[in-house]
Amino acid sequence: MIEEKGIFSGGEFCGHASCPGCGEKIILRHILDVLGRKTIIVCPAGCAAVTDGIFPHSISPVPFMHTPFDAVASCAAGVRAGLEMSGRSEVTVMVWAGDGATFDIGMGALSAIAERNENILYICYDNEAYMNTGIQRSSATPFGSWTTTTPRGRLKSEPKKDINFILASHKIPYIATASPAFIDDLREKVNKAKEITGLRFLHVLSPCPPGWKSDPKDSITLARLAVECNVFPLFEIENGERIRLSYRSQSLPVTEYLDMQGRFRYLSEEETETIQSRTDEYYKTLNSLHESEQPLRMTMRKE
Amino acid sequence: MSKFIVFKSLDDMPDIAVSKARMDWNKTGSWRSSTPRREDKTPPCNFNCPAGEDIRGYLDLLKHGKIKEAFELILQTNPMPLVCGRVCYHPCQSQCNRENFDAAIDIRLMEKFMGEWGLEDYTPPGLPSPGSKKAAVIGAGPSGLSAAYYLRREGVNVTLFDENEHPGGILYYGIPSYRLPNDLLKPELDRILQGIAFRSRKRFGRDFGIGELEKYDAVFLGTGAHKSKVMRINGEDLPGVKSGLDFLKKVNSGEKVFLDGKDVIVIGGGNTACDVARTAYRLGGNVSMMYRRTVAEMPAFAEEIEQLKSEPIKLEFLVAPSRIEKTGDGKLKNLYIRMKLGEPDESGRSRPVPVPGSEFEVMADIVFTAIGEDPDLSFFDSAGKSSGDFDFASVDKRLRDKLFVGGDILPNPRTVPHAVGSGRLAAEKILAFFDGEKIEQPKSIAVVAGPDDINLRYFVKVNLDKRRKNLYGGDGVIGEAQAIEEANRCFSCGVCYSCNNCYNFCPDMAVIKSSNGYQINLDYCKGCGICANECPCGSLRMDEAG
Ligand SMILES: Cc1cc2nc3c(=O)[nH]c(=O)nc-3n(C[C@H](O)[C@H](O)[C@H](O)COP(=O)(O)OP(=O)(O)OC[C@H]3O[C@@H](n4cnc5c(N)ncnc54)[C@H](O)[C@@H]3O)c2cc1C
Ligand code: SF4
Ligand code: SF4
Ligand code: SF4
Repeated sequence: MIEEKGIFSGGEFCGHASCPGCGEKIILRHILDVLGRKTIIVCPAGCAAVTDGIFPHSISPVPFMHTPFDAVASCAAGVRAGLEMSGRSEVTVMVWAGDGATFDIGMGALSAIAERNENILYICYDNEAYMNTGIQRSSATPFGSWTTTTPRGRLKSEPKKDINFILASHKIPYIATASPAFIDDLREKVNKAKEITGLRFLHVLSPCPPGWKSDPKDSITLARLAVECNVFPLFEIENGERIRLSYRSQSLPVTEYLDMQGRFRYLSEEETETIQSRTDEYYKTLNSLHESEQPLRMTMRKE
Repeated sequence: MSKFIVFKSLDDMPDIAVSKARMDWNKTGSWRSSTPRREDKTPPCNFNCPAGEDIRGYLDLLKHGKIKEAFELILQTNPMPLVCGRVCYHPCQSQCNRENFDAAIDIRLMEKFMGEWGLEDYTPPGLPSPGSKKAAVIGAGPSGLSAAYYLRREGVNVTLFDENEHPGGILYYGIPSYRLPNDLLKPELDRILQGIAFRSRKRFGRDFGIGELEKYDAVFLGTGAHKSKVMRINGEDLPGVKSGLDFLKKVNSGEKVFLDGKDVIVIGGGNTACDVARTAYRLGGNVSMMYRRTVAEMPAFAEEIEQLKSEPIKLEFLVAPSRIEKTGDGKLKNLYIRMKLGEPDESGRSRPVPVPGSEFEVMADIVFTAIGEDPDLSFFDSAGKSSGDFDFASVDKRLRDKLFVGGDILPNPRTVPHAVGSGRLAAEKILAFFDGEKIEQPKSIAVVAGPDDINLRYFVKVNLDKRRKNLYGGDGVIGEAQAIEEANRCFSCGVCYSCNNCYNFCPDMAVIKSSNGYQINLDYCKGCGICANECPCGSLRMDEAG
């Protein structure tokens, strides 16, 4: 009746060391399923690097190259150059990096490959903190979140870094956000990105039960609510100019999302309201950019 | 399957760090503290269908445009979807889990659509040639038709006897044509009767007896309940006082009956009474209906009562006839007494008790009685009991051991789907009897899927106005596209419908798609619970015992 298809069969992806309910592994299996075998993964320090297997074992069905935290983008550029030199331009070079490597430690190198528009598919699984080292805040951690470095009483007071618009200002051909709860949308975006040449950036929300202090069974529900509450809207930016919402959310109150996670347990009512109003505003802006169909133009200083 | 690799010496190790094997030696199932289990439940629609239809199943096929397969699935338990789409009271629909979300699936309309499709577009597959086993079916109402159909499908040589000219029983002779036109009924009955020898105008007990049944290996009796109950009041034998059911039979047989301007009284509150009143009104009568309890206790189907109320028929509640007299001008003088509700009786409804001194008079030309019917089992010398369970002990020995019964003879609710269901069950019993086995009625141990089993996040509310226009805009006649759209709304309560969620969302690739559906690979399942949580229809459950 139903056929097993894709590149995984016979337990190829089984036995990894991710925690129960890990979002990262759900996302990765679908990405690899879409990209197929002609792919090289370049992966910096992070959850993905420690959970794919114990040396000399790995769940990865394709070459999986480990790199230093800050150097993933540069290493990927090197792999790309090597492939081009040996005439294997059909191989996809995919970066698989967490938010720490992307938003913080590897930001410089990422900006560099973006500026050079290297032919790389950069995918960030964003679990919104340094999780495998013990839940330290990153610049992707949302406002009001508890982490071990933003404990109760000193919850994170800065908003999450808006990585997509930073990359948009590099005018790269394709940027998209995605959520594992919207698996068809995620797969479509990977497929679309695969066909584009140049730097493509996918930003995928990756629920993390131990870090978010949520029930493992709720990982997908949270990934869904993040979108439905507009905390993590699904959109695409083409050439750094044209913004399209990929999904009309139900605009549910943010509390539906926040209340299911222990990391938001210490929010005051006021802080919750701040999150709601910022979320509303951000979604409104995205929506008007979507509807205006006007290219997003930075105001350039006149020479 | 990869093995765990241990390097024994430095020479074993590769020059650079490179993986040599997969991780599947690592049985992460040992991490688990609770375990997902497949636990398909019974959808409430299926559970409540007296004919035993797999409603969810055929809606699922219909969703995917597999109309023929959907129709054939219906035929496995109900040979007459068109009839049921029109006259069944649809207890399936009133229990639909979607009701409180936006609106119940209009199962009745789906069934009617399927029935109509079946008449136009369906060619039944060839029947097996009749084998050596012979069965006689007495009574061609829904129970007899159903028994005959399911026996014939299995290659039994079936002869169907009925005292009437046309098959159908109450469907043909009782239910009025404005609800079930005979020209629609006929083609559906023709399909059912394929390969079955139909002997019309053969009344058991008059035209043939137990002796003639000796050549049959089994006999099904589905003669229904046609003997009108008597009121036990003076004057009920007067010429103008008639059985309501006989009146319907006359009208449905095509006899001309004129009631123009006549004052008609109908006594009773059941389906028969409603049909008699509404038919009499259509023939020009000024109709009053007299019922001894209130509208809340009327045994007629709710829908029928609604229709009745929308017609200019006078309804009198809490009144009982006490006497009927003939007056000089040929009219009937009816004496009634008012009632009030007392203690509940054995049926659970309040017993009406007369209010002393409240007698009053009503004049009429015709009085139809429709206070209920009993089975007429006078063909058995010992005259089996007329109520309660069928009394096999009273049946002649020659017949007793091979006799099976169904339909209105049984103390079931008297409805078409109950008759169909009991006919099919009897056919199954007969087939088992031929094989020397016996089927006991299975005890119901079904776990019914309730609204809490549904993950509503996966369903979108419909625009009710749009749906109404779409479904009912064309006088209840819908096309394939509308039927599929409506079927698509079905939650598939409690039964996996291959949505893929568990497979897609398992972080550990521990859900496997196999020819037996979705299975959990417990070697690797870490017990996160995502699969059960994201199953839209409650077909997976976490077993906390691990
Ligand atoms: C007026 C009326 C309206 C109804 N409306 C509905 C409705 O809308 N929906 C619903 O679900 N149910 C309705 N019902 C109930 C439903 O029709 C019956 O429950 C159902 O028809 C019972 O099926 P059956 O096969 O047991 O008997 P029947 O339909 O009564 O068929 C019995 C057959 O046996 C034949 N027969 C009887 N005695 C003999 C004999 N001695 N020899 C040979 N043949 C014999 C009769 O001629 C008849 O054809 C209605 C009933 C009535 C009376
Ligand atoms: S939603 Fe579908 S399966 Fe559930 S009760 Fe209604 S018709 Fe039956
Ligand atoms: S989603 Fe996978 S790992 Fe989690 S309980 Fe279900 S089968 Fe087990
Ligand atoms: S999640 Fe979907 S595929 Fe899995 S058991 Fe439930 S209905 Fe079936």
